[in-house]
Amino acid sequence: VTAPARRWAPAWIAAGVVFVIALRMPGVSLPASSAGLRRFQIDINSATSVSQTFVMTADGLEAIEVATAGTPPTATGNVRLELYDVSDGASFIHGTDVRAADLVAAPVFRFEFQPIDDSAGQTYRFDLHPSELSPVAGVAVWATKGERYRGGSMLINDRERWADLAFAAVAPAGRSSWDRLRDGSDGASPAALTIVAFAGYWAALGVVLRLFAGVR
Amino acid sequence: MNPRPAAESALLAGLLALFLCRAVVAVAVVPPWQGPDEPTHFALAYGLTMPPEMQRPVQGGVLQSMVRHGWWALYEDPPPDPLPQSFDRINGIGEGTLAQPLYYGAAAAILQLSRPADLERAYIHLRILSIVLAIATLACGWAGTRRLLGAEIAAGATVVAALHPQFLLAAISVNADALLNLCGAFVWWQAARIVSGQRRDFAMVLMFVGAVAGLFTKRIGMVLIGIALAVSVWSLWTTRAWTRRSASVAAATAIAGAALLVAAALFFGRPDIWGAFWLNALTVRRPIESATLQEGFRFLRMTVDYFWLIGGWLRFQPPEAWIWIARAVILCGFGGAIVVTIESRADRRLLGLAWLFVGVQVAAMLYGVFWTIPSAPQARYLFPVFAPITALLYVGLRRGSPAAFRPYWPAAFVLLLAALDVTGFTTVHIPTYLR
Repeated sequence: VTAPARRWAPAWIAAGVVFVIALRMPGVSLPASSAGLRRFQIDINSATSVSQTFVMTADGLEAIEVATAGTPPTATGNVRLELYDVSDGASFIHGTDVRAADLVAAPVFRFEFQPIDDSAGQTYRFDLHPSELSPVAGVAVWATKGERYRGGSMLINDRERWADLAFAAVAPAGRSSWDRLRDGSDGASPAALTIVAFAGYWAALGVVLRLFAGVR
Repeated sequence: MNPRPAAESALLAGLLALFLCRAVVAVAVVPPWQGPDEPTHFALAYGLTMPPEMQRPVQGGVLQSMVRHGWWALYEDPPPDPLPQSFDRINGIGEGTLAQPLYYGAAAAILQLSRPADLERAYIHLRILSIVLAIATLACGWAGTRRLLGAEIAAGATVVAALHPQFLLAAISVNADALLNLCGAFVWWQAARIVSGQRRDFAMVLMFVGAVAGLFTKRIGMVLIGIALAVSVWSLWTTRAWTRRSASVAAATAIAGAALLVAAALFFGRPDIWGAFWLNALTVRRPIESATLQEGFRFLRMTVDYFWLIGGWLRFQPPEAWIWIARAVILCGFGGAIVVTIESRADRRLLGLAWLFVGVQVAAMLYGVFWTIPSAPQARYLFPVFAPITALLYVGLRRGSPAAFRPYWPAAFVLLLAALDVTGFTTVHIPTYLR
């Protein structure tokens, strides 16, 4: 093995790592605000409702994920979740009552609805407030200390706060190529085979590049 | 400087391996039935493996499979409800005929050997057949270009072919294009042997065998007959080597071709319908003079835009910036090739052969799209002459690179094409099919 070949192989492997990182990056950055270390809880109760506005960056908005937590003694009652398009006035999109126990069963709750085809560029408001059906207790949502999402604001009881709800808008465009390859399509081909074929693609491309670069 | 033989073999093996890996990724990402007219071609081939009374139900099975794989959902249409059991009630999907039986016969023979358990597996087997035919197409294209223009241009042209996104889509599609493309590459190889004087008479017979095989595969394959005739006349004219032996070879080839045509008509069973099918492709359906210059430019723009990548049935295009880069590659490549053809007296005759292939195919495509079977100018119509196209593109792009840039040219060339290919996957196929 010649010295240039020895240098070439690590360089190409490093380029492959960069390639995988690029594959793992989503094509579109969707509205989101992670709680991070500087965070606080907001209790949802009969006196408190929480809202978050955001500007959607892709079509196909299909869910909103929100970070939740249970508070003592236990989660009871129902929480009303609603989504409004507030780009021009406030038009109701979807709403549902969720059992408090279901809301805090996992660290992140996914509020799903019929995908919105032309959601890109629209401004939405996501509300969490106590249900009229059953008073709620023992439920909180996480929020950031300070503004972390610049495309919208968090409101508590309709008053804007210098904070953001820990949330993430969900749409197909927000998934990375890597995630899509890993999950596969309709089961026609195992995901592992696809990843291995991509690795083979990269190796073969390296060989072709190396040999063809020697051609004048 | 050309590569050493060992390095050349390794490079060719690397290119074929690269293409195979791309094909595996594409098969995993692109669901069945996304290739042009796949339902029709598959049903005809799969139907031949069954008793006559079972052939029509195959169409119903194909339609059910199309629903399972989201064919209508991808085009944002609801599937027909109730789902018909045959293609004649579906707009845009024809039943096809066996008037060009070669692909269907070969595919049915493969299925008889591989014995798929069901329709879905039969589809996968025929996809594999298409990939194998595409790899053979690359190899024949490389052999022809190497014989005619040398090892470096053959390698460069095969890089273009091995990293071409639209050719890859053709390679994973279950239709007769895969075999026709192989016939075209084979004719190119034999034409290169004729022009370079390697066993000229034998190569001429093989060239006509390839052209006749193309004729029996798809109607557009008749272009290969025209090209083969033109190459023969050109070769005899330029070499002045018309001997009694050449005359015997030409006569034998013509008689064999005519016999094959008669045999095919008899095999088809209805010579009148068979003849009408072929005449149909030559019937002008609109006045020649009705075509406008504006239509001509539109045809040219669509040919360029659809040549490098468009997914589905002419549905899914890459982002605008990507299309502009592909346009630049195509226009710089062909522009540079024209310059080289004019400048280089030594290469003019050899490049002239490539221009003959491309010119005749484009003229036939223009004729078909405008006057006989109106349709969009799809890139696959050019793939029977893909090898000469890639050779001209490589020659032209190399000519267009600045002299100071030459040391970096091979790496930049491969990386540019690979970047177009990978971003074709990440901006078209993966977002479209893996939602």
